[in-house]
Amino acid sequence: MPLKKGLPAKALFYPMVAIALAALPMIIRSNYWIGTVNLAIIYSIAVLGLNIILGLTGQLNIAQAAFWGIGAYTAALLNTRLGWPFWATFLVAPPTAAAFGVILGFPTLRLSGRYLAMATIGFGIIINLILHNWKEFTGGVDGIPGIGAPVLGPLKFSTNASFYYLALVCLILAALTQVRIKNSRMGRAFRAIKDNELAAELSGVDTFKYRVVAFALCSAYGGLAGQLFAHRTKYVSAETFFIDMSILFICMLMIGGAGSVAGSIVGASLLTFIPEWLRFLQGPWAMAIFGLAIVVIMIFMPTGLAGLVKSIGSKMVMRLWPDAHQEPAELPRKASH
Amino acid sequence: MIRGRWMVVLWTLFLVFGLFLGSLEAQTKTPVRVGFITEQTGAASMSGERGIRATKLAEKQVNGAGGVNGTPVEVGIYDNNSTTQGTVNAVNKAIEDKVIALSGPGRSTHIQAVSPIIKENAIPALIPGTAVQLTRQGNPWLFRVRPDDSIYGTAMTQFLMRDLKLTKIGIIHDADAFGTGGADIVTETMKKNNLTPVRRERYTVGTKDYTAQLLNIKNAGAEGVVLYTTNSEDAAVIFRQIKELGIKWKIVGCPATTSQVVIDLVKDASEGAYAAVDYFPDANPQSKAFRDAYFKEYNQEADFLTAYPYDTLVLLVDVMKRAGTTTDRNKIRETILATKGYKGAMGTYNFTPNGDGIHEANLVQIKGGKPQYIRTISVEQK
Amino acid sequence: MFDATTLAQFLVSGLAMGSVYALIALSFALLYKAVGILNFAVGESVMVPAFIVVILLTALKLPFLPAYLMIIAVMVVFGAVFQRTVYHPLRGRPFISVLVSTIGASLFLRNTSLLVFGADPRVSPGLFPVQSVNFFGVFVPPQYLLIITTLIVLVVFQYWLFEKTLLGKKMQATAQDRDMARLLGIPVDRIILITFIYAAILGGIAAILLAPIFYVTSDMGFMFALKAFASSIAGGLGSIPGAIVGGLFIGVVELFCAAYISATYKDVFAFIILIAVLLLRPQGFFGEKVAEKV
Repeated sequence: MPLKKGLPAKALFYPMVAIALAALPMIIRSNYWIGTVNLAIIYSIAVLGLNIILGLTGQLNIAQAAFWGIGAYTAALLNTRLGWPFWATFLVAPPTAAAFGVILGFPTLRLSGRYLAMATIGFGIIINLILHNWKEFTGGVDGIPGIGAPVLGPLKFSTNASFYYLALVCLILAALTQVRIKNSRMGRAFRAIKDNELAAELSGVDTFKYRVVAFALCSAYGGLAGQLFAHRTKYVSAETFFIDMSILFICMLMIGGAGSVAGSIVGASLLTFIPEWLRFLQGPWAMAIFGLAIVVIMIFMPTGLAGLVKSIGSKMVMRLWPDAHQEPAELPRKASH
Repeated sequence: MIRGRWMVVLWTLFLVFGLFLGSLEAQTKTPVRVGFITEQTGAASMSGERGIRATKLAEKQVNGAGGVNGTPVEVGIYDNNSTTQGTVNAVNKAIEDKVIALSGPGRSTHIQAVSPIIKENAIPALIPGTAVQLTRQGNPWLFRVRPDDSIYGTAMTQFLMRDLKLTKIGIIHDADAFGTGGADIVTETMKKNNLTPVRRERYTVGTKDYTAQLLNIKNAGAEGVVLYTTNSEDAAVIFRQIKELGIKWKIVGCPATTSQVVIDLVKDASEGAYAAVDYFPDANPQSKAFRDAYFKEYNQEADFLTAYPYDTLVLLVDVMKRAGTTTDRNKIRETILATKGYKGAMGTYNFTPNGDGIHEANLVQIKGGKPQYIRTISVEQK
Repeated sequence: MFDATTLAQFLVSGLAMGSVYALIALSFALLYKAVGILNFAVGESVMVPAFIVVILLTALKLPFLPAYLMIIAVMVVFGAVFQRTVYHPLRGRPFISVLVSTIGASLFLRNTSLLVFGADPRVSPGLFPVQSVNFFGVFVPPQYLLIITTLIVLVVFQYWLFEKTLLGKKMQATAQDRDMARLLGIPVDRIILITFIYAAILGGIAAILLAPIFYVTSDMGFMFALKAFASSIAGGLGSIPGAIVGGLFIGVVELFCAAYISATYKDVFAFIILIAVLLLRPQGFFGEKVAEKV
């Protein structure tokens, strides 16, 4: 019997998911695995950032790990050297990363996308080397230990389980914000730039401005992920924030589905968990498979897993509930106003 | 949107299921488990590989002799991917798996990072890291099974000044905690003898070309050079380039410069170089026995990279036997500190209250592609 | 510190390293100019043949000449396979798709190499012993001379190829305007395949030259690739002479900065140059004026 369309399904769905997510630490009692979930959430936020610039706007950023690192080090330095609490670093780290994004993006986004890609490579390396070698400021190779656990008033998030809730809230906010952006005028501008930059320019979209904004948003997300990371692991060291990680973020996005919010989260989670579940897939095995997956996905499934699920899902829905109300995939593009 | 929702449902189910599976695995217990934190993958995996072999050899030997009063010993290998972040993960995982003690991590930088975790979890860790401050930061759970840098650095500098009678000495060192700390100690030792290094050059670990650093030291008029490198791979390139540039120095290196890795890579470019090492096969009967056993098992020469993981496990088992427990970490800790005169492959262990076990270094020279023993230098430790 | 001998020594070493960068940048620039793609995996086209060289010379104990010829043959196959799998299916798509694809290929090759060959650095025997030639106090390892000489020979060869042969002219035509070339009857797909193969062979030559002086590891290609990108941008993206000049420039400047400014930050200088070029003169030394925004 076809499912009645409309209210009952919707009413049940979101609370169900909310309960499942909220109960997660009670189902999974292992401290180590909750810690892994936390890492997946942090990566998801970074990848969501990458989604804005790469998935939505079609510009390649191979330095997301650097912005992640800037966010992490900002939080670490403010917290350990100046004693700033979590909420303060939370407010400062993302804008700091975004500022670096604008500094990098402003000159290079005037040029075509190829130059941005190359510039981000150079930028990422420079940042990494500075973090690694400027001992007086960044602690050099020793990194910065002793970062405090997040404290918000009477709430202390020092265990993995408690941190989970904090991180989950951040992720949900980050994801919802991005959904809003996607459906806004800015999001449409991003898509226009991705589809055909010349045409967008000719129809009045200030492509330069929007590309800088997209890049700043991307780095802000990266900075947020970094700040959470610093307070979670309580130790930062430069080697974590290297171009290899930027490449991994790209893998996560492409496999999950570039352009898709859910895809970003799925991609990040999958690529965090698979090497943990399948012990023999640690290290080079996992990375070799991810690399191969990228090539395959670019050729056969450029929309990644999200695209795959969408097409299978919609086929299933059409078969099971042929009368079910289908919301259109995207709002019809209005002529620019 | 229906499609978006499908994704969320699938993802949540997937996540919960997978985590459940994963957490089941972590709850199973195993008999006396020791966690070996090592570089199984990543930049230093070549060195890590040797340590793994040595630990496995020790595991085989102690179990062949009945384990800890009948309880078998199992070594869990926890890969840190040669990174600090990886070490944090590896240590957490090992603690989660309820190991009784940790062998490693190996690098001073890594140890520094996990020291708070070790202290918080009150788990004994036998570490080979040589940065002096590791055992002086108030962490009662770190025990050092190798001489620390003050011993090497002092021995190396004394050898250059007294035995080789050189006054114009340069230093090349890496930017790691180990390299920089070592260079500091050399400088300090020289200062006590009213000398200053003619030039001090630093490089980032993994550098492929040292022309700039080497020529700067040469132009400063150095006759002898102290080499403080964390990675044997880097030491190899340095030796080769010194030869290529036609520079003739008396070189005294840290232990990494004598490892088999270096000798295999540079063939004769390190001929004549001196080094301070901890483990040396001919130094005493235990070290000889270890070398023979390792060679028999793996058809490979033993070196310090292999000696300390081996000694660590054997020492731990001996400690557990004497303490009469395989579960009481506090008792194990006390028994380690009470260990005096224990003869291992690395030398004689006399633990001081802050956890340092060995206080001597061997001076060797590479001759005919092999390190030759010169003498042992004992250093007073405060 | 500033005496002639030391400066000359730095110059020689810088030119040698720079020639290496130039060679790899050449392969990179060629693919950009001819096919319009940025090949992130250019470093792996050096790393893979480097390992094979080591195996042919040490494990199989082949003499130098047959081993080197086999490398060329292997790279022909490598180039062809690479073109067919990583580029060809994506040829209509925007350049980002291909770039991401090459990123995946690079990741795959680096890690597969790690799995197959292990993490131990390998040494390759060289044509010369580790004994430098002494030119008035400047020590020049013979391998450096070989590298610089090979670069010069290749430049001359490439000039001849592009300007004086029919094949070269077809390659140029394809590079300038693919549709027009097709209309003229040029087998565009085949020309592109040949270009990929030629670029791969360049990687193989670089590998033959590098293997004796650098220890061969799975990640050796990565840093070289990054320096090659910097060289190409500095010289002018898409300019063949630019790639060479850029490579030499970065090799020399990097070394001097390391000696006189800071040795620890040695790797940074190449990328500072990269960013500076992008900010001040994006077309590099020889590139055409870069159109803004598109």
